[in-house]
Amino acid sequence: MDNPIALTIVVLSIFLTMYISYYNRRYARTTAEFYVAGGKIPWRLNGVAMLGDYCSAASFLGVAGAVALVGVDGWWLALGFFAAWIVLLLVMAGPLKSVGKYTVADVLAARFGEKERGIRIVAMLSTLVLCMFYLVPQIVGAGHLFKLLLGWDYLPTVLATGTLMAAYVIMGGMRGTTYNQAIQGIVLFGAMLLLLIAVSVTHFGGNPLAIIDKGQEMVPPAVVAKEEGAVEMLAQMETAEAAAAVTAARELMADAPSALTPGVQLRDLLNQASLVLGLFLGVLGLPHILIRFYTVRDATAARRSAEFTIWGLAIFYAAVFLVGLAVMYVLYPTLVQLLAEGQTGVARNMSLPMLGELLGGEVALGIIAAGALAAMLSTSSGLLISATTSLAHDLYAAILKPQSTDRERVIFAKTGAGILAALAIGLAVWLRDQNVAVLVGMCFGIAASTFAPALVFAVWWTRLTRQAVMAGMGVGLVTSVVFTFARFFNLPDFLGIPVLANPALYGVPVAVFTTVLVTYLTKDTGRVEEFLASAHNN
Amino acid sequence: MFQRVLVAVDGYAPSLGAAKKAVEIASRDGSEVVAVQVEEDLPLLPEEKNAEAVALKGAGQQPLTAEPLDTVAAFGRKHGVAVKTVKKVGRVTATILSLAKEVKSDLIIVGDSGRRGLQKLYFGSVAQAVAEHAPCPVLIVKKDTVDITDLLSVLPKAEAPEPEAPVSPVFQPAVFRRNLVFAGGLLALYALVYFGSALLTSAPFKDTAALEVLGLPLAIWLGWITFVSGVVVVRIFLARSNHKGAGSHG
Repeated sequence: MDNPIALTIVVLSIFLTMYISYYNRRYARTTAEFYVAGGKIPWRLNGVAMLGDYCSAASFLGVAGAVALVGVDGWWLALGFFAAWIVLLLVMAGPLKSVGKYTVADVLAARFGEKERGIRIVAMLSTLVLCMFYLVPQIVGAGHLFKLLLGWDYLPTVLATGTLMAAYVIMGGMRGTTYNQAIQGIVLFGAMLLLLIAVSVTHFGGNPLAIIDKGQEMVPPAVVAKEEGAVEMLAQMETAEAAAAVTAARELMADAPSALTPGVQLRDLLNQASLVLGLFLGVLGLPHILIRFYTVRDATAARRSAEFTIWGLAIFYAAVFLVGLAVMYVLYPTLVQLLAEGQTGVARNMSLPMLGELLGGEVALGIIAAGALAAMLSTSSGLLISATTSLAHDLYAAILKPQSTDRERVIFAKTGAGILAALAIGLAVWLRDQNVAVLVGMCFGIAASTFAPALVFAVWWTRLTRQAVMAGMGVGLVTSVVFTFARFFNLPDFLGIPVLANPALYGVPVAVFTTVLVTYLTKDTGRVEEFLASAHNN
Repeated sequence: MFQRVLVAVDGYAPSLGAAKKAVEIASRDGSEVVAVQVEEDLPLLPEEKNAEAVALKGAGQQPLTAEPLDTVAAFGRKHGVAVKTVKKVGRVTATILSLAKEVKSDLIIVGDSGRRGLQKLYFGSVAQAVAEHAPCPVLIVKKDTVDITDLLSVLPKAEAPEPEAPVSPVFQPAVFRRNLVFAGGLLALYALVYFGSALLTSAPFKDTAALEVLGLPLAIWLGWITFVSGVVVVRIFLARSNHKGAGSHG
């Protein structure tokens, strides 16, 4: 065991969150005091929980890691995560809150009828696929985190942590997720700002903007790692000699781009377009984020939380950029060595915990690891709750065995969630070297190709028909999953079509085109007036 | 003996046992019954609420009546007891206790669901908490100690006023179109900023992205602009919603 103190902090934090959710629930029921006016949920709590939901492991570990390796080009992903939240607010949040439906299948059923089986089946399949793919980055992140803490190999670590995470979540370990999300939001946000302040003080003379000046000097580690001479020279250097290493690398590679130069790892136009499109529309199809709007009772509180969240996100993603650059500077020789040794998974995802360890020793490492693990656990639990709901509600009760008891449904759903988690663990073993933020981007692409068009059209288009929803979602799902796997298998092209970094550029247009085409060929628009009236009249 | 009896109900068996006791005592003493139903306002997701209902009441338990207050009122009428019904939203124990003070009740009756183990640790016991803090005597009716068949038999009558079909709002194409134009317009505007700066950072445009403006590459400025304009767009959107909300809800 490499880091006993940090590991202890992580384990304690899990028990602490369990205790807080237990204590809070009992307290809310049995306290004799009204300490909140009118018994309302404070919108700040909800705002922080939204932030915690959104700034998950991908944003925290993945974006910072990407910036640390390639410089400013790693940051464009954050732009997409940020913009997606705005799209969600503008297009979906209001109407869905008015309709009062929480899952995609329920929204579509509200327009096209409860008995509609086809839409339910396609929606369920999409939900399961999305949940599985979104679980993968959570497990990959946890695997690397515990590898860092325990010093085991990746394979046993990921098998053990993945299984424990799934068991914990399926057995109902996460309760009162709003409180947990809020705590996690505070920890991640606070850790990001504290890291920024601490590293500014220790390495940049107290001026965070000096980080940008250093950025102009540094050759990104991803570039250095490709130069054998530079790698050999840096291999001799300790982390403490980072400043000298930065200068040495610059002298050796005078013409190389800096960490602030766009172009180090830029995608070509098609790849970039695919990624930004997937990010832009993806959140529309990720109901576990959408759902946070429903936990507050009135619309004003929902809006206040939303405004709180947007400020938080803007500050967070701006800080990620500076912290990522600071990581690059402070851990310069280490990052180059990791890349040169082929430990890309570690370099891509673990640079932030490593910075924490350097600045604040094992305690800081433990706190950052605990925050990141909390993010992974709560995201996983949100996903598995969606998956079990869908399995019990849309598959077992609606189709397989309508006369089943509650107990049978729960057992069926939990078994299904277990199988889903096992598949995700398998994928996590296979995809170990991927950046978790990129993996999350893939899920956004699948969501953008399936649920996003269906929901947007259902809420905003009077002409949309039942058959079109089914066809559009189905075609989008197949297209995006095929191109996701083609990417994972590193195929250069599939059926003569180039495979891109994200499936959205094919999935979204195909789904939209199919939906529009089938709409004009069919007539069943569902209870369109009733549905749209409830969505838009207030 | 008792002037005013407060009973807390939630539609499940233990609380209905408590309600029956309340009516019996009131009919004997000639007292008034205040029945309260408290809905908890919690930051729970819908799935969590479902999962919790199962955990709270035990698997397979269904509420015996959707409108426990109407049921108790009907049962009271049958026995010549005046039942005042109150529906509140808030913290369960705190609401019961503050209502007890407000109506000056001299007896509180609550049901006890008999939870054990982890569930009790998680949910606590409202009956115990009420007993601990109440300003007056408390009667706790334990699970399955009162036969509530006769109380349930008034159900059909209690539900006599058929729940009216929810008035479905009328579709207003003008409102719909206004919303579409506003949200769509803002989205289009933001999409322009977002896709503009995002596509500029692809390989073909990298020289433009790297153009130095005030000491930093253009692309970094565009990144900051995307964040700032995002906050602005959200503020415009929320400002209109707030304005609208104030207009329609007063």
